[in-house]
Amino acid sequence: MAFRQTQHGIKKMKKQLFAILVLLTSLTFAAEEDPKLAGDLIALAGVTEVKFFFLPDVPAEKIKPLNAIAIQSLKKMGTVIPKALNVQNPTEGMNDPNSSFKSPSLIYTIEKIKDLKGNFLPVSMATLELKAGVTIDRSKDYIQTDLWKKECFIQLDLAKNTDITVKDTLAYLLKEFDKDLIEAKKKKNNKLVFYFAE
Amino acid sequence: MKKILLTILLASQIFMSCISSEEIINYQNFHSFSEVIFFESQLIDSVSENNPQALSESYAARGETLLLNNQISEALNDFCMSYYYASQVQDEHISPDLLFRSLFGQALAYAYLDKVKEVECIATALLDIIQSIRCSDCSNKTTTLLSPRTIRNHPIFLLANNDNVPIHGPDQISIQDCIDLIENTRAYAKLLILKAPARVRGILTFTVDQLADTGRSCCRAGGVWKACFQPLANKYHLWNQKWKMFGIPPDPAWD
Repeated sequence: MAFRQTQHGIKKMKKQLFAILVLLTSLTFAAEEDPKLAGDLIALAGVTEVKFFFLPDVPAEKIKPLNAIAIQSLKKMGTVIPKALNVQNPTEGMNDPNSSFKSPSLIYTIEKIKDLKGNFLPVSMATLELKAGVTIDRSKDYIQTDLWKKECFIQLDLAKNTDITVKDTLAYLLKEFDKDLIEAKKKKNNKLVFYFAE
Repeated sequence: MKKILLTILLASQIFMSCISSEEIINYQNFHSFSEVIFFESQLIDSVSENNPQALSESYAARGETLLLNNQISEALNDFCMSYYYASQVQDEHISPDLLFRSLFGQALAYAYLDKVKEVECIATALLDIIQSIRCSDCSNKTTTLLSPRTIRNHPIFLLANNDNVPIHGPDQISIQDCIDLIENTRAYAKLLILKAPARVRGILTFTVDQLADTGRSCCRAGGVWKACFQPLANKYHLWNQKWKMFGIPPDPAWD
């Protein structure tokens, strides 16, 4: 009798152990499936509009045609509204929830890469970063930080192939940004509003 | 007749020296570099040797225009003169402002001339000036409302108190909004830097970053937001005005 009870107890324990094992395994898989979401992408969930700063490191006379290329790329992902800084009335719209004052800044840069000796390599690096002000819970300090950042490299000379280099890298980085926005929001991303800084 | 002429001349000189120390030159009234340079040369000639502040400002203003007109050596001379007169100014608040402006001009001129060592040396001096400015009256982390008189008597930020662009808006804003303003202007200033030739972008970026970092610290310490924002706003406004007017670089790509 006692032997049967012991066997029954062991079977029950095995079942419980199996259940715990299954639970632990599923948790591990879940964590592996979506390792970024908890820390990295959660901040993107509320982003519906950004101030876009287009800062390619190219000669000044090339900026204007490149601006047109950038605006075209942005229009594929959202609405573009030109926005200049009113330096004499910088708080304009500060308390208006529909103004761009509080929007995070999305900054695009591209530059040629140098080697250790300072010689330029035939590679360019483009970066897209989303910056915003956040309050740190513990210290209550307010800081500007990167909410999201991605780089890409392209084996093209920025000086010689400026248009294509900027167009391709910007399209790639915006696509990545859009992908992460969708992941963060858990639904198809509504069209973003880009306040194009000029 | 001589007396009348002398009186008119004297009055005009006083008037001109008042303009140079109190008013901001409105560059939209001019249509070419030569017009501006002529006007600014007249200002220099009209200022008395006993007024080092006005002389320093006038030489710096002409130096900036010469720089934009690609007359680099002449610009460098003017900035050196501006520095010479700035160092004679006794006022402890005005002097750093003038020294900063003339040194900044020299740094740009050396950058145009590809003289890297001189640029580095001046950049260090600029940094010393920026860091020497203390944020006073902001020990409490609050956005205390200060009267205009208090602000005048206890200037928190004085890098450019003579060519201040007027800033409108409420007297108080939160520390967060103050920091956001600074960061926003920093990003916009970098758009302007793209209009400059590649060889001077380094020193421009360095200066903007230093001004913005100091402005941000001023905000964080609870400084009066307009005073924290002023130095960066001045640089932004001046560059934008001159560059817009002259279409820098002189290329049809810029409207």
